[in-house]
Amino acid sequence: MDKATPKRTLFRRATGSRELRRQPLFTGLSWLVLLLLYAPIAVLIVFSFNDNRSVVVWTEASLRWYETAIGNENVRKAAWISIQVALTATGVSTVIATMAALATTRGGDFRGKSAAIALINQPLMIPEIVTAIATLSFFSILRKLTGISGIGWLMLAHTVFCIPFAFMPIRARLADMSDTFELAAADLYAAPWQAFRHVTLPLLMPGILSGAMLAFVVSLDDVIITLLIAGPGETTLPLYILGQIRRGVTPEVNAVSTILILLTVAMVALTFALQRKRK
Amino acid sequence: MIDARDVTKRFGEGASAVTALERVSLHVPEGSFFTLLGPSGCGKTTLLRLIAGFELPSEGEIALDGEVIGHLPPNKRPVNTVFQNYALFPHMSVARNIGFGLEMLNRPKAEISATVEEMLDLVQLGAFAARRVDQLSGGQQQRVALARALAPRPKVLLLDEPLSALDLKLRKGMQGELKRLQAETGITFVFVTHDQGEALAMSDQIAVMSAGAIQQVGTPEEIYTTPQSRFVADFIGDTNIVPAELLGYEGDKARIRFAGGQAVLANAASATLAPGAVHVAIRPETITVCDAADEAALLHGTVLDSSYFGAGSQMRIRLRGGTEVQAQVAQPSPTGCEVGLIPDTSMLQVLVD
Amino acid sequence: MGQGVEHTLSAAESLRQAAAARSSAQRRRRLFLLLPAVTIIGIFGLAPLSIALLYSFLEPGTYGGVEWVFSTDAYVQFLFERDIFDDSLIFNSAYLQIFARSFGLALFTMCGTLLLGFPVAYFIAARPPEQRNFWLFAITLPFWTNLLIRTYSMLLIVRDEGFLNLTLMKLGVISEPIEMLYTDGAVLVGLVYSFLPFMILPIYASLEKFDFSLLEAGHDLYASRAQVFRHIVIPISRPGIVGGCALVLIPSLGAYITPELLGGGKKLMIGNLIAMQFGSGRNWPFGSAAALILMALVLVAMMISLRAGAEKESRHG
Repeated sequence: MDKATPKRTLFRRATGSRELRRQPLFTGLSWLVLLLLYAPIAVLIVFSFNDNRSVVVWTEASLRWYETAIGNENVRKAAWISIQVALTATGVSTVIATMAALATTRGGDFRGKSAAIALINQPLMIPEIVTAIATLSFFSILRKLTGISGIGWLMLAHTVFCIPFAFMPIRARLADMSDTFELAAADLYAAPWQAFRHVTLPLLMPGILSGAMLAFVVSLDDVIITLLIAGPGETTLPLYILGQIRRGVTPEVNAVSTILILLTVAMVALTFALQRKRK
Repeated sequence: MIDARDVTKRFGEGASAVTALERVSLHVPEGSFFTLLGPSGCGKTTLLRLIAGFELPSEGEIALDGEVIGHLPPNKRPVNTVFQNYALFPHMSVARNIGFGLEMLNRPKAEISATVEEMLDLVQLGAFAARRVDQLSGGQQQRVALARALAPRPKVLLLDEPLSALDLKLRKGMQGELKRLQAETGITFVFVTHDQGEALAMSDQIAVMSAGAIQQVGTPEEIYTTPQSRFVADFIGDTNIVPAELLGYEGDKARIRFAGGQAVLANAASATLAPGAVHVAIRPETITVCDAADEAALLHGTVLDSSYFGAGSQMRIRLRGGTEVQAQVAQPSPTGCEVGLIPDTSMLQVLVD
Repeated sequence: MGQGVEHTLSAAESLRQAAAARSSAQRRRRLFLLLPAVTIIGIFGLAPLSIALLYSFLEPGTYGGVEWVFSTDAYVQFLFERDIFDDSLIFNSAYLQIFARSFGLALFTMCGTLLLGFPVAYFIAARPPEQRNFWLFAITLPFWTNLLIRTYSMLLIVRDEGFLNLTLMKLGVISEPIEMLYTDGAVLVGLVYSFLPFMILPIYASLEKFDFSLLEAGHDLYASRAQVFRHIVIPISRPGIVGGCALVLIPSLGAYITPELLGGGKKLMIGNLIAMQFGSGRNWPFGSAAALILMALVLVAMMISLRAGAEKESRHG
């Protein structure tokens, strides 16, 4: 065998695991990837505070473009539509997803359970562009048949693709949650609805909040489906941004984008914090 | 108190159905500490869940104080459970956990808080009322679980292996604590465990279960000294099971003979076996080791080895027929030595296979 | 027990009733809970797909929409052009090229994200637990940030007068801006940038519970660093790799925003082709047909990944 003394072998054993885990190349690469992921966004955010028409030449810090953006009636209108759509879609999809999660995790297995889960996850399985054109085709028929128009269709479309996003964390939490808590409540004289109200619901709350926040973020960020479904006057914030980018970049777009990013980051950070706290 | 009559529980349907309990009948006397003992998968937890109402029996009936309850949901039964992992509500304080049952029963607030206080004293956790349950140690959580289940003053308290999550030292302490609580409250305890030491130490009565059926019911002493079946003898303590020949019955005793020995009288549960080959249980501490040539020796064998355990030594002996037995003695014979064995015939038990 | 036979009979009866009541209550509850989700997604998720299928066999309307006349033109159009004068079919590879480009770009994106993502996932899994949360958060955050905005930020970097070119020119490395925007390369970079987290997270999930003492065991048995990696780490992370590849490939195939902004309408992908038919191009049947073909491609990709995942399990079992 080689010349390693027993002593050296012992030493290697003792420190080996730490040493072997480390792949120095990977460490460098990981930091590089992190840099690449954040650098473009950082550039965008930094230049939203630039007191200049250029989006890449720094002159002086100012909130000028934020003032412009907030003073812009189109931006305000788009933001209001975005929030209306996102709140409606979040509310409805979270309730529906919670119900479906309860049905698929409590009360035993049943025939068609995996089919039901697959159906609920269906919007995730299909490329968004396909969903978008298919929904457009379907809605154009329904609009003609019912004579109903308005923002409701957009809200409906958002609700549909928000359901699986809300469903995932709620179902995961329920599946992780032992049903002994519900049994214990029943054992202590709680009727089924009391057990739900006093035990299941409070314990599930972090999952419901995560689900709602994901749904909200996903709705707020949607471009493709909204682009095709939205009627005139139903420009959401992302659609407004897309329109501006197509016309040519201005720091105002950076400012609006930054606001949207901060909103998303706040939501995701909150979700993350909630999940960690409950663990 | 609790009467189970011909209770059968099957899980699943059709060909894939698994029978967890097969026509089990059981009487739990009022005010007793009653233990369901058996290896995992024997049906003891299923029986407990049927009494609690978490499952419905497939057949048979369960009555409490003469009233049939087998079909009621758990919240309509005056029975409470201490769960294996306690199942304390993590989002409620200790006090609210304990008061939960009374709260669900719509008892007045004053009564609830008085009972909660009383229960906290009972389990010696007076200072912990406002704590969150995840701030408690395992032993403290155990006490809260007990207090929560006792607070509504159930007719029966069910305990599903409640000590298995505790370390050895705490477990010993909690055994005494459980006995004390049972004596103080006078409530009937039905305790499920796979630990025979626990069962023997705490119970008024033990039902030994295996393969979905009750093998034997009796006091700890009865179960230990007069096991009726091979399963019970094997499961409780280290018992030697030795083949013998059954010659016949004399009164409530059985006349048996070990290979190459003389006939002796042994205990028998019932005179149901036909003469012929049987198995006999011999507790290691009831064996006297003697010289191979001794006239009184009923069995003969060779010493395989012996190990010291403090109060004496444990010898392993291979009998002439090939069966290995253990004997506890003060002075072990050397390895390889031929010896004779004299079991205490009053402790011999003929087993039903 | 003096209740007698009658009592036992009624007990059996009440037991049967209770069991029936329990299971029917459970069924009703389940139905009530599932109905909204199943109805909404069934109607507004599945039905539109059948409408798209239907549309793909109709003739286009003049101002968008469809004429209710059966036609297979939408599919024929992929490969052939109809001569305006004599109605003869002439082979035309333009659309085929778009599909080929999409497929190629998606594959390259998959490889790119795998090459970058695997080391990162491994690195995170090898961190002590308290550091992992930071890394996971850092990787997930861009994933939740608006795709449009992230693509726009990439646009700011690679434009002719973008951050990269201006910086390089200021440093004197180049004198003329390098044309990066509106190339396949720009689209590829954008796609990798967009979908990298989709690769990292599943691989991390498969490595999360990895017992790093297995590496020691491997080395103890005379395996070299590379051998340990090949025979221990890769097989264990295989389900994550397969899942990550599927998660990257599928949205890459249907990408719309990235080629729209970074390909500038010159370097089309299937997603843009489809969207165009419902916008300025106005050929809904053709767009529907293209969407269905895209879905078929995605389905094939998913089936391959499912099989690749299953293969691993049977090998272990």
